[in-house]
Amino acid sequence: MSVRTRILERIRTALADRPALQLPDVPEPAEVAWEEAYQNFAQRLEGSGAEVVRFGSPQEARGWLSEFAKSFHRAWVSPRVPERLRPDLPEAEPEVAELGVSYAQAAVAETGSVVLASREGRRGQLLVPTQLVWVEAEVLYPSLLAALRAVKGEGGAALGLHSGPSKSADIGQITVKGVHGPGRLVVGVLAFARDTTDRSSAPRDPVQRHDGELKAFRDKLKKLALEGRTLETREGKAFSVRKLSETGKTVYLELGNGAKESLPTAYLEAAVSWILTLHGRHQVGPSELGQAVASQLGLKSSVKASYLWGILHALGYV
Amino acid sequence: MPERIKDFPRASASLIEDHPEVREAVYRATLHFDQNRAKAYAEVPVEAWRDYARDVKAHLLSRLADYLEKAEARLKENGAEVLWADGPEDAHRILAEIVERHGVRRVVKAKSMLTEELGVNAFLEARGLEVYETDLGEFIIQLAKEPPSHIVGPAIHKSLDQVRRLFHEHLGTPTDAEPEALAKAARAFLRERFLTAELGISGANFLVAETGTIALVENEGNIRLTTSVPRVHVAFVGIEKLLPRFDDLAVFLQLLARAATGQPIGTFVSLIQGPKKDDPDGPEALYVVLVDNGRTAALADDEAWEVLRCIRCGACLNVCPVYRQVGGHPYGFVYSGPIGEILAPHFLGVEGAYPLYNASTLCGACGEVCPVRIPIPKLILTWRHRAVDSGLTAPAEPQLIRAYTETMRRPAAYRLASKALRLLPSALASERLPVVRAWTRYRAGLTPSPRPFHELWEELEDERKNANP
Ligand code: SF4
Repeated sequence: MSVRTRILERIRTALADRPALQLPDVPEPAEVAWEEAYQNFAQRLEGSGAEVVRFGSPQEARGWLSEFAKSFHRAWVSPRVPERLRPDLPEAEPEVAELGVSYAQAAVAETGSVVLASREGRRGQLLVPTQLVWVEAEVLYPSLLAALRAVKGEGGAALGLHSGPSKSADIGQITVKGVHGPGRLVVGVLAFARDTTDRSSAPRDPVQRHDGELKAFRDKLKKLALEGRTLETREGKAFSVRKLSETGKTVYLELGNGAKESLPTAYLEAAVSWILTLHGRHQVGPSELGQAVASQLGLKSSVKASYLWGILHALGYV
Repeated sequence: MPERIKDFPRASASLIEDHPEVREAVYRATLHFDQNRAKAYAEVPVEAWRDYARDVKAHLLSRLADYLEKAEARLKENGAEVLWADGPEDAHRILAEIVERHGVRRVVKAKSMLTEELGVNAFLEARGLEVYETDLGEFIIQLAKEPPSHIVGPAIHKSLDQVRRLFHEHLGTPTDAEPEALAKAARAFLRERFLTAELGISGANFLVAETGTIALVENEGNIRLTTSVPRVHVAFVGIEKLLPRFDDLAVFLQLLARAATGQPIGTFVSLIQGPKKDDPDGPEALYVVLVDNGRTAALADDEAWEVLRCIRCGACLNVCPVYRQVGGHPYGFVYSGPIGEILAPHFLGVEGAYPLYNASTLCGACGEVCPVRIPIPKLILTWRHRAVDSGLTAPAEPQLIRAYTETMRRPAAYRLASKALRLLPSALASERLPVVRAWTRYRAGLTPSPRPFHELWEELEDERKNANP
């Protein structure tokens, strides 16, 4: 009998008379608006010894970078870093570079972390004494849970969360920095809308990025349709979800006055992915939502936005 | 190992007498850890998180075989090779094969308590390989040829001066070097090893069954380097380390860091999803060794399986009044402190682990802080009951306790006994009485308070009555 079989058999015997216990739901953290998320992010990172710089425009970031780069001679720059964010320095291998520049896959406000993809090369994230990480506004997530959901299965073979400079208190309980990894971590937050014409710098399509989340959303929707709960629009109009079409493409609603309505699930999904792309800007009103869905699907009217909002509200997205 | 465990009372007493500096260093470090933990707990909905963490682990353990099969399947899909080990022998055989297959001569190691259990370093060194612990604390104790004394801070028993002397001897740093300079010397020494080692060995903090993700948490970056730079990575994973869902990492990563050091999250978290594949760097091969080593036996124990929820945060050590005085070494076991007391008997049997589970005041502090709500004091008691049932305790002890129970049941007898004790104070310090002798051998003698409790109580009652008639 193989070791594997033996171990599994011992476990099954041990558990034979014991009931399977319930798996609890994952606690859903409270949503916070972007500005607050940014404040948490900066505060946490600074608390653990990192430096955080915020930029309101591409020019500002560019100007700061040329000053910053002056104190280094050679840099390793991740291939993910867009042209406009690359320092004007000779490039070098991570083993000898004084500075490493990375482009975050995601960032987490709750824990003050940048999520780095191994796809850009791990040595450049670890061997350099100083590390600069660019964070686009739209990849800053309020909670670790939201960030993990967004990066699940992305970024290569080994994501790395960095939440400050390398440190240790193993020598007489005195904290020292830069023991093995970078001793200095600088995070540049690009707090402005990304230039969408610069397609090369957009790491992923937003809808694709939220695949996992959208699947979870569809599952929730199915459950909701079965439950037939009474929902409310933001204006306080009652309605309920009657059922989901067999093909899963249309949600049938029953309004308070007995009238029937239908809503394509594509609208719901577009709305969800739009909301997720905003990460935490959850004070979303029906009209704003309607406009977003309209522009994403090329739809003129936003009449159904109130019902859309009501469903998303019941599911905790707005 | 059982011999060293038997020696706990003597070893701890002589440590306190002969090495007051250890007690001081351990006390300072654990107090610091615990204060940070308390602050960090207060910032989050910690009670709800602890309930959730307890329930996730309890659920996982109740379906462990299914989850292991799922994790194995995902790991394979990710391109990892999965191997199973009953105990040290299997682990050594597996390592020997990997070393052979990949022509390994140099090994860098990331801190892992499981590899301590399995005696990995000694095995590899005996085969003529160079093995380097890369966590600064582990590196220090490797130089000192000592085992770790704490799950999270393996070298907390060492003072700055001791580290200075050690580094002076091995790395040639000045005898008055500052911590920064010492760390820099270690960094330079180990950097060269990272870049030339063929094999990196790590443990795992979590293994997600849903995705086959190995999660590793640290502060220095050495684990990230160990699992990224050498061309082969072997991760030893205790079978209890699984988590059902990727989303579970969100709370577990934060709870672990807050319990261990009071940080919001470890400075570096690696989420490993297989060998490098299309990445520009990273290991070409990843082996995941799923290790039992006593865990299935613990699982089968209806009264004591809860110990398997442990996430090795060390919070119970930091808060334990016994551990704080003596540190980890006198326990003579891989794991020390409260968690060591309830793990040891699963590994070594109730007799082999005796008297480790007596090294507790049952104050309950460990149970109060445990992030996965292991009822540690209850489990300590379970093992003590079993020790009595197995006849390990002095035969006079149950008799004495029976006598005590009888006395306590009868007020008249109680009063008489308490008078007698006060008339013969030397009786309690006597070296001749059994049990009492065992107590006073390593502890201060028992002196009765000048007046018995019931007298004081009556007096208080009278005062109260007079105050409000
Ligand atoms: S028993 Fe609880 S407190 Fe102790 S190390 Fe394990 S998880 Fe931490």
